[in-house]
Amino acid sequence: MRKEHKKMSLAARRRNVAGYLFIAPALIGMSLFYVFPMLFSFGTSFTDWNLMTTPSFVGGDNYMELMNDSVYLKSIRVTFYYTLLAVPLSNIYALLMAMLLNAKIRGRSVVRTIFYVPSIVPAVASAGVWMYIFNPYNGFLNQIFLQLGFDPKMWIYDSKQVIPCIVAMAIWAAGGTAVIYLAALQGVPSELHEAVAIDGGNGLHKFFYITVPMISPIIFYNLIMGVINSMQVFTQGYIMTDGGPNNGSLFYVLLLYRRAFEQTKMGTACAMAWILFFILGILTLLNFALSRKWVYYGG
Amino acid sequence: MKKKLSAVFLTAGMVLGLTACGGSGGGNAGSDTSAPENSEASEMDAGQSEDSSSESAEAAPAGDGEITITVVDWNTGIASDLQKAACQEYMDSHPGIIIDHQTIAYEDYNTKLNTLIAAGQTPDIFYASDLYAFNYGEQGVSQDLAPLYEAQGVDMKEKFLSPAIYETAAGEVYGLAYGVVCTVMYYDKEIFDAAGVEYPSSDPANPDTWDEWVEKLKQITVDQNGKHPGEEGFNPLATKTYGTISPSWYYHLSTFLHSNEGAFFDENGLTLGNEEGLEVIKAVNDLAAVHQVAPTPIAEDALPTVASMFKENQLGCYISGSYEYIDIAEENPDIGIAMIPMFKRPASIAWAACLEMSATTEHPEEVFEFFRWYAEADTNPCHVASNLPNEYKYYEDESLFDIWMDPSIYNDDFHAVVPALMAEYAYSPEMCTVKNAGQIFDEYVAPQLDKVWMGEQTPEDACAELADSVGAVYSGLW
Repeated sequence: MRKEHKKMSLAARRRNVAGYLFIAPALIGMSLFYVFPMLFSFGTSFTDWNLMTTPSFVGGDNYMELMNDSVYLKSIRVTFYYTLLAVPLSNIYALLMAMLLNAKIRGRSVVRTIFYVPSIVPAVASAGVWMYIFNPYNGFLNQIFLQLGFDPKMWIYDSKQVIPCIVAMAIWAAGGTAVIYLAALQGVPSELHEAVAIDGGNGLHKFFYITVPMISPIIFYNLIMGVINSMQVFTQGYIMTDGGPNNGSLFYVLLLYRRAFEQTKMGTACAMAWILFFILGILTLLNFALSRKWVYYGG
Repeated sequence: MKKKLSAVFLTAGMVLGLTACGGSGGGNAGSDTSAPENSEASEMDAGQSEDSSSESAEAAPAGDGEITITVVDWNTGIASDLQKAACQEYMDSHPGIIIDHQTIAYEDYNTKLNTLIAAGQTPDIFYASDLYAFNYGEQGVSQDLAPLYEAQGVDMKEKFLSPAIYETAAGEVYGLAYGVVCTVMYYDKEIFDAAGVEYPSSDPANPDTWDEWVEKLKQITVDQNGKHPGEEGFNPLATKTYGTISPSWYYHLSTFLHSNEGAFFDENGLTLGNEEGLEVIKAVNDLAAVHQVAPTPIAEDALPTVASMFKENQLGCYISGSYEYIDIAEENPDIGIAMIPMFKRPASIAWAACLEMSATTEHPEEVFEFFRWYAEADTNPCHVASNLPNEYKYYEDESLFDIWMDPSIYNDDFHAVVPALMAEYAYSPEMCTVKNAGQIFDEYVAPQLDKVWMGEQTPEDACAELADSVGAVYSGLW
């Protein structure tokens, strides 16, 4: 019996070896390109390092300094403001679009393509187009405003309007999210809608009592991904406004980039990255905790 | 059994593939012991942007006794072509020296240069932004040039323009200005002629005062209905010709502060809130907010290009660097050049890329020899036609200045204003002398002044708030 057990464990061990060999490249790659940089970044966040000299250990100074750094605190406010606007609005827009695209309308595939195209336009290219739209002198929006008799606006050149403008861009590019919602809507059993209709319910009843609960896991997924992506928004602030005016679009990751690669304050930048990691972790956990109250997984 | 063998072979293949990819650089470096410089250069190539180009990339690998000198800058177009030609000329006349000239796009320059330095691949000679020029010296990356010039019997202060020498208060020189530019005022003669207004003064010793200039701007600014600012019915939203674009960039403000005997900072902190500083901020802000002779400074990026505005007679005056001359003059050959208006005294600023030499180069003598050849006007004419020389003698002798600034390209106005301006009234901008300038000006000063330009704060309140916030990161002057 003992001999047989030994034999089996030897075979199992061989299988394990083969398995480990198979996953070795992935493990090595992950260690080299994910785990090691993360650990290195964590260590660096406790140092004063400008890339040129040897890092010196400063304990938690980088973290403490950030807490008193008015520019850093502003970048957090700006990023949260953007996230609070962009995530709900782009999800509502995407869901409404998905319902429209799910309806049996003429030329549905063409309409679907039209709504999806903005999400595959590179951010840099779309930024160029939107800069024209928001141009206060001869931009598309102000031309319309002038025709309608309104005063022209400064759009992205006004510290109060810049974030709503960038949110509008995010909504415009929510085609990818709409496609996910579309797939979810197609998975909602039609008999449930029919049951509501038999009970005398109207379209709103169908939407709030059937559609929303049935696709709530997808809404939850889009919410989580939306928050994570919005908190890391970078390109629009980098290309269109360079963080301005008055640091009104100084997103968290844009400031992190400046600190790391323009001002070569790697310790501060790494501390910022880890704080962002913890903020995102807490937000995600919070979302998961709240999801128990509103996400319906069936059964 | 077959499955097992396949698994082993597949895994071995994948692992070997990974190892081969990861180790190629090191393998080359290790095997080619005769040409360590070349392997370094090829590693640098790998780290460059797509814009990178390498003179030596097409050349044969360096053999015994050959020395490769790496030069990194951000020039593009004609300037880059001229520099590559200069490097080739040097190689032709110096057998055994290979110049590896590489270009990194300006937008990514600081990031990539810092990455190269962090990777132990500091270029032998490199551009540094004037905002960070002294940082490399302080960190031991850049060579102090003062003793090297002194050893060759050259008095740098006699030879080079004062703003061209990147010298600390302690006397270390960490770089030389390469391709100097100064601040001038461009103006559209047609607009002044049509309005019957006298041109801005082109006498560097007697420029228009700020108030005189503003009066001229009011007369040339006009809306679609032909009304001027101050006249009843003038509509600033329908301005046809702007008097100017507000010189609100902190480099320009630095010029006017100097003219008003003020400054952004002194050794102890912010001085912008002093009487002199507040006067300058108010004056610049009033151009749009009160006098209505300029568009709001906050959205200048959204305007059409200056060259096209001049061409369409939409702009009367424009204060900017002499580096814009080529673009503006291409569309407007008869563009006027004047001295910028003054507050208490005539002033302009001269600034440039700071050319620095690595302190850790393996071949200091050869690199310094090339540095001098490359940086000095007598030997390297490659930056002729695009920027100004960094030596006094070119401004003191008209014929020498003409060699540099070809009269067939640079008009009479340019020749009348710039040499005298550079010789007598050009100062270093404060951005070169304030420590941690990049963070201070980009993250604190410019955003705070945005509030003034947007009408959200008075200059007094903005300066008081700025004094509080910037104190945390201000660490004095170089």
